[in-house]
Amino acid sequence: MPEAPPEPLLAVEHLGVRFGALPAVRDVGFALNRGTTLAIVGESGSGKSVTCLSLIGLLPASAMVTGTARLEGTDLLSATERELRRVRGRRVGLVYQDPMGALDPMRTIGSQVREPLLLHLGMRRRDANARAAELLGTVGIPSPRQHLRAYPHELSGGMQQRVVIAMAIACEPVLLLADEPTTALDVSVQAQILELLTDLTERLHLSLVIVSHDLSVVAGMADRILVMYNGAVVEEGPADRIFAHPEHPYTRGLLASIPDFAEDPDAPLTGIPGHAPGPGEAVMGCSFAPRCPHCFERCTQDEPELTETAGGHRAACWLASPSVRAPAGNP
Amino acid sequence: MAVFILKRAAQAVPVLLGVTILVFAILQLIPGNPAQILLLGTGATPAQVAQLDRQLGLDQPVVLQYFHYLGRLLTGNLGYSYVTQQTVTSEIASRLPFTLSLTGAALLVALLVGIPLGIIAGLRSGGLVDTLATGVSVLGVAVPYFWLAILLILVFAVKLGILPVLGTGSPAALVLPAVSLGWGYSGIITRLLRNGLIEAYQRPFILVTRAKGLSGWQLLWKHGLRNAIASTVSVVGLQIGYLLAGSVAIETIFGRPGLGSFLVQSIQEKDIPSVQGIVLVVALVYVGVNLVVDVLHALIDPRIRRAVSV
Repeated sequence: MPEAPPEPLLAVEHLGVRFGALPAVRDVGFALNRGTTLAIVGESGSGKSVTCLSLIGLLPASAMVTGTARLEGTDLLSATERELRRVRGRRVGLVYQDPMGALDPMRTIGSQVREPLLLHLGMRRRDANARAAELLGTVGIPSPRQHLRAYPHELSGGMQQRVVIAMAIACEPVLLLADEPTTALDVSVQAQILELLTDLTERLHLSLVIVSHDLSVVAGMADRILVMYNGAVVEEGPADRIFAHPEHPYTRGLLASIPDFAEDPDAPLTGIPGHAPGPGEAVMGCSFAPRCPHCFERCTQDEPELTETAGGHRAACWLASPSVRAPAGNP
Repeated sequence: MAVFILKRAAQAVPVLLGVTILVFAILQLIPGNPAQILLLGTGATPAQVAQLDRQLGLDQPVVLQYFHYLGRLLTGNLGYSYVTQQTVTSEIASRLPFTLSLTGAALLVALLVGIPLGIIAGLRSGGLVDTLATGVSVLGVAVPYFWLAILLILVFAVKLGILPVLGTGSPAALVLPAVSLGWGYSGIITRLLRNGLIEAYQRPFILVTRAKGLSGWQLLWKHGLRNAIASTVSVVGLQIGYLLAGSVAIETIFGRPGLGSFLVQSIQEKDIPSVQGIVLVVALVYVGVNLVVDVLHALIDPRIRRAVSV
């Protein structure tokens, strides 16, 4: 029986970010349902982090942001700084890359985890302290009471990232933004942090936007995947469909570049030849065309639009576009 | 923390010992011998000089003399001024308050000007305010304080006549000397604080902390300043010598009694015990200030605390 689609928690439309004359993000749109996880994937400079930070207004002052991003109906992109301050840490939490630098080295773990509790929930210090210890326990830090008095440099990178996560979920937000949360960590610690994030989204009924350059990192946890290239969305859809039927040659390239050493320890590493256009570098037609193995004449002339190919799966590629797929009988 | 302070204080002991050796060496290095200088122009016979030598203990081996000197220092005895025949301790004690009030006021001027300018310049780096503040601070460091002192006297005392030049009676008399001495120091503080803030605000924790919903002021007060000041404080301590050295010229220009002008006068009169005493006291103040600054630094930055106490 068909059901009316639920109102999404976060609806981003026509998001654009420019730094002066340089476009960093162009016309990005997606919807995130409650309790689900969206992964934004792309290589460095594809605009995925900028997309993420623009949602809570944390880009440098030189950034010009356009479009809308409605969180439970209210637009974050047109919100004032004052309004955004009530969103940050309260309704949206941020987990950042580089946990070693993400905590203030001068202040105790306790004071940093207490901070959002005192700020948003008006807790008294004693209550905030108890809650902070509870939060450290939730994110898997042993003997939380003692660790409240510890300083960041006394913890390992993985533990520091757990503290950052504890700060992010302190006020029970509805949305967690995780910008490359595991990039700076050892592989074994990476898995633990990803597991913790997955676990928390289920337990706290959180929605999660996770940004990564690595499709294999998000494979187990994402419900939907958004692939970005050169500041624009090139493919978006349900995670299982993206892995099973990638439509865009770039996505296929990303998937092919994940080495499967379990199958064959001597598997050659494959990459995508060439490099992404630099900032401000104008490309006629599809910006992936110069690196695309399937590039044909039209690709270098017109830019393909993001088109739905199957239920909820969209791709910006002339080969994926229905008009090219079914050319029979067309003039 | 107590362990840190004790360890740091223990480190100051060899420094102070080194200072006593240098100060003692002044006596050995000057040409001629003190007894001759004392009796100069009195037509004393060599026998009288030799007798004074014995009186002052100058006929003993140098090492023994040093230990005698050290022993006297430990009892607070800095010797007697050749000129006034008073104890050097009392001569210094009567002048020290003037120097301390001058350097204290200069430090206050430097902090009151340097901290706000540094904060504004750091937060608005690259902007007009930053350019102005940086310009003022460069000018402050580049302009010699004695030149500034004379300029200020010309403008505020001679032309406008609103502030006194000489005297120590009223707080107003302290304004021109303190500004002359503190201005350059404020430039140093501005630069350090500005760079400290710019560096701190580039670190990821600032972004993560903003993501917790703090306002700009809360961010500056609870996180930005503390990180910026940690790097500023230690250099400010090292530069405190700038104020002590500057007080020599400033006290002479403004005719203030104080250690600086006393030092100049003692050198001119070859009053060696006084020179030794002043150098020793100034060194003691310098070492003391740096001890305080290091403790402050450790109070601000937990990483320093651990690095030393482990």
